[in-house]
Amino acid sequence: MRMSRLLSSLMTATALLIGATAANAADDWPNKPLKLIVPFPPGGAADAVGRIVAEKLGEALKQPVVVENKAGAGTAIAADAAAKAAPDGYTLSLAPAGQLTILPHLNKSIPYDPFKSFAPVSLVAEVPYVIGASADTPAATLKDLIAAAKREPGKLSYSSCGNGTLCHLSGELFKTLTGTDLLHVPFKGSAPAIQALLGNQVNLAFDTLTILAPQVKAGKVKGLVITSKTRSPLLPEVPTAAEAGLPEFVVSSWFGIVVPAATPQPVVSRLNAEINRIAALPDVRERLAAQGLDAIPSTPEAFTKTIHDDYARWGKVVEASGAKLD
Amino acid sequence: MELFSQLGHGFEAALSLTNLGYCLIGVTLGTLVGVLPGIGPVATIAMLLPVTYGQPPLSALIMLAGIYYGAQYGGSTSAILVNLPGESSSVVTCLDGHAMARKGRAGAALGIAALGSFFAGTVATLLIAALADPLATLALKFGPAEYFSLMVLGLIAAVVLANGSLVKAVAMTVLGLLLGLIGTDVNSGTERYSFGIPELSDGFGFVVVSMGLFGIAEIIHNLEKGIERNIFATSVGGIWPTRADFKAAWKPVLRGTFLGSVLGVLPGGGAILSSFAAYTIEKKLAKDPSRFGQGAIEGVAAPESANNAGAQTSFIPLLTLGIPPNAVMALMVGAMMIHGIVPGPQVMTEKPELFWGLIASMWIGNLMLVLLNLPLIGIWIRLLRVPYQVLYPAILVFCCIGIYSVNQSTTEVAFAVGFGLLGWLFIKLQCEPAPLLLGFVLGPLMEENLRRAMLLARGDPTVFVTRGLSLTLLLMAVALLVILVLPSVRRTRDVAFHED
Amino acid sequence: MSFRRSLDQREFIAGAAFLLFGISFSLIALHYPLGTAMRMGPGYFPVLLGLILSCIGVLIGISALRRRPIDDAPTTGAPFTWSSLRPALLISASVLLFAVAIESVGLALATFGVVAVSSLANRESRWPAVLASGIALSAMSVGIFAYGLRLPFRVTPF
Repeated sequence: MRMSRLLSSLMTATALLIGATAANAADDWPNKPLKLIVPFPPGGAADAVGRIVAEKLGEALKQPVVVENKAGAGTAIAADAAAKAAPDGYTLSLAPAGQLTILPHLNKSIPYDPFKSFAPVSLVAEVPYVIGASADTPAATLKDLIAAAKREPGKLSYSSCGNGTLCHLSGELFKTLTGTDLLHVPFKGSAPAIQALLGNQVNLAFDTLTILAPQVKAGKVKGLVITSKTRSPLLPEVPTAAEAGLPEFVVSSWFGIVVPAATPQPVVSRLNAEINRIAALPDVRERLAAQGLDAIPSTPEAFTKTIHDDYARWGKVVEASGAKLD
Repeated sequence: MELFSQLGHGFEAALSLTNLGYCLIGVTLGTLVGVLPGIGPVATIAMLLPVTYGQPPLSALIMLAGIYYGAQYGGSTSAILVNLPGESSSVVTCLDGHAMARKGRAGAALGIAALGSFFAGTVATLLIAALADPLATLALKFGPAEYFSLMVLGLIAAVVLANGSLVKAVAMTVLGLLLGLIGTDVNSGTERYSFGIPELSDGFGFVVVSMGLFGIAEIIHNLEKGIERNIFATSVGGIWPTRADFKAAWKPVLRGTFLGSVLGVLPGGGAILSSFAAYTIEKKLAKDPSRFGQGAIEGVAAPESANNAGAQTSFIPLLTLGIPPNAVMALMVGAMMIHGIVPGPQVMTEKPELFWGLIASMWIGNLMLVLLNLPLIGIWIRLLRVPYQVLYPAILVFCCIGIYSVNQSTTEVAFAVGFGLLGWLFIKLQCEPAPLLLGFVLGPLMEENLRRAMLLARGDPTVFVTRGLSLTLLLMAVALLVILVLPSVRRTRDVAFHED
Repeated sequence: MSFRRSLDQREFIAGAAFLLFGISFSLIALHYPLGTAMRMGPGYFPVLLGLILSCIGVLIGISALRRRPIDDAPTTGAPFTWSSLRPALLISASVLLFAVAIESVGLALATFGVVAVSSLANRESRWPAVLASGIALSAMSVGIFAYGLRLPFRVTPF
């Protein structure tokens, strides 16, 4: 009896020990604070997503997750830092769509590889794009717009939140799809780009639902089309791209979490499970929805596929538009 | 009067015990981070954002707004005491504020800055309440052509900042313009002068340049001269502004308030210009302009009032148009969205208690700031009695942390060393750094808007004179240029020169 | 007379420095597309500004030469002695040390390093005093920035 008890406890201990070695990194992980790199300055949708994830992840892992805003070089500085961080599961990175799928096409000298440098953990949220037209623009629907743009090629202009951003390339995608010619006027960020739209200095702006919804709601800007599959409760009057007759106009500004490529698999799985759980929390969904964001948690594999698909798609748009950054 | 009843409701909301508490926390914290160079309100608000989840929306906004304008008060403190401009708007305060501190009149400078700011804050708050909508419409009238013309005017005004040679001031402004162009060109996406260094792809940060040129360079210079001589004259007279100070300062405060209120409404560049413009005007109006740079109280009163008025009216584009004019306002947007408030044109009508409560709280916050800052003056002055050999390593530490905290970038800390050495060279060559900094800030804006205007006009340069507002601004620039050049043509400008 | 001379020498160096800056900015900018006055490329503005700066530099330099008294040849060699360079070098070194130390050994030691190295720039520094203010400032910066403001800094080497 005594013997068997000793034996059984010995066996339990051994089993525990083996289990611990097998999962060693995942087992005592995390035993110190984690870091989440956000590639934009505080404020804005990316930062909001990052802070929500950091807060909830911190509660779940019982270790603080500190948000580090590392802005610059169109998110390349943050990506570089994230790629070079120790793959120990303590450095996470919030990757916006453009960082992994657009920037590598525009800037051949970026110091990271969108596929090899990172292990995708999960998508977190996405926000659709809206085409906004200024009050003076002679178009109330997408059809009007295409007709007006074809009537006088190069006459209509659009403002974007910067060269080589998703704002810019969604405009270029629109041009390619409709065979129209619009004048691109880049700005430094969304705020001045929308200001130019409000002041009737440009005709159109391609930007996120978050940015354009309040202006459309207030009647200062005409919302022509939204890129989501269904209409948004924030702007129920604005038709989807498919409804408006341009189903190929697919633009999604998504945010996902990635870790350095060599991060142990158990850590990635655990993070993926937590993010999927977090993204399903009602208060998280509510907070994201307030910004026009939809929670879209995924498996690491699905996220990887999204990166590959979007990379190929935007590559073609970049090529067709001739956009480049040196 | 509908306005007063609305303001009344606003005060009712803002005067609740909870909201008063949050206001006090906000302005106190704002003052603290404003004093620390580089840290600034952006980092603080970002850090506090999660804390506001649990608060009622009005309380959250009151606290965050308090941090913002509290930091404006605090920023002038470090500019006056240790010559560290943490933000572009404090650069001019350094010129005469720090000169006053060296003459033992730091108390007077800090006092006038606080009181002038309070007055400006009061007026600007009323202005937001009464004229938010028309002012926002004015902001929308500013297209690329108007911004370009405004920048031209600002750059010509920059030259007035210098005390010594006019030619060297022009050279420094142009050098600043060039330094400002470093980084990714907004119009074409080309990276200029970045030599493949990723940290340079967005150019040098303002804090890097100003900490180098002002903070580090001055420490090197002081040490080189030998610090047996104390840097600061021991207190001359009282620590408060005198009757004569008030007499000299009240008109500059009025003018500064007006300029700041108007320019503050313009997103992108307006707020930067207001303090420079206010200083320029005072120097031009003064009977004896040579006092400027040597500790003229008007040179503190006007820009500080303009600065604070601008900080208040910069809420107008946010509250009426939903457009955040700067990084702090972008964070305020984030804070509003957390609470399901979509900032935009509807906030005023859909959430009047929020709109008016916030405005009322701004006045209350300004009052708190004066009550908070006036007693602090005594403490700050005691800080100046700390021997320089203990003070300067501390200033260096705060510079380093300030620069590092902006982007968590060690490369930027290293850049600041370069600017420190450059600034030291400039001191030796008697080239003043203030015009360079203004050129640095305005340079990219000027080029960006010039090219954008030409792009939108499809290459037609007459766009700058066919638009009324743009033409007016350009004519003002020409007039200022004439005023500037005339005296030096009439009498050979003696090389104003003061060995200290 | 010597006062006059130092003034002129300084003006001359200033002019030369601006000329140098102007030329280098212009030359580099020539590599960027210039565009036309109607449609300016990224090189247009900097080339133009660089040229303006060079011209001003020449202007400053010439006026310095012209003002020079004829019998008074300018002394060559900048007045850089070790004692005048010492603060510049040590202050620069202390800031660079911070840049290296903050991410490897953390805020506390980085702060202490800045205080220690920058204090070398002042001959009158006494070691016990430097030690004391170094420890005090380290404690302060950790307290204010890492705990008070909760900035995401590394604090200690561990």
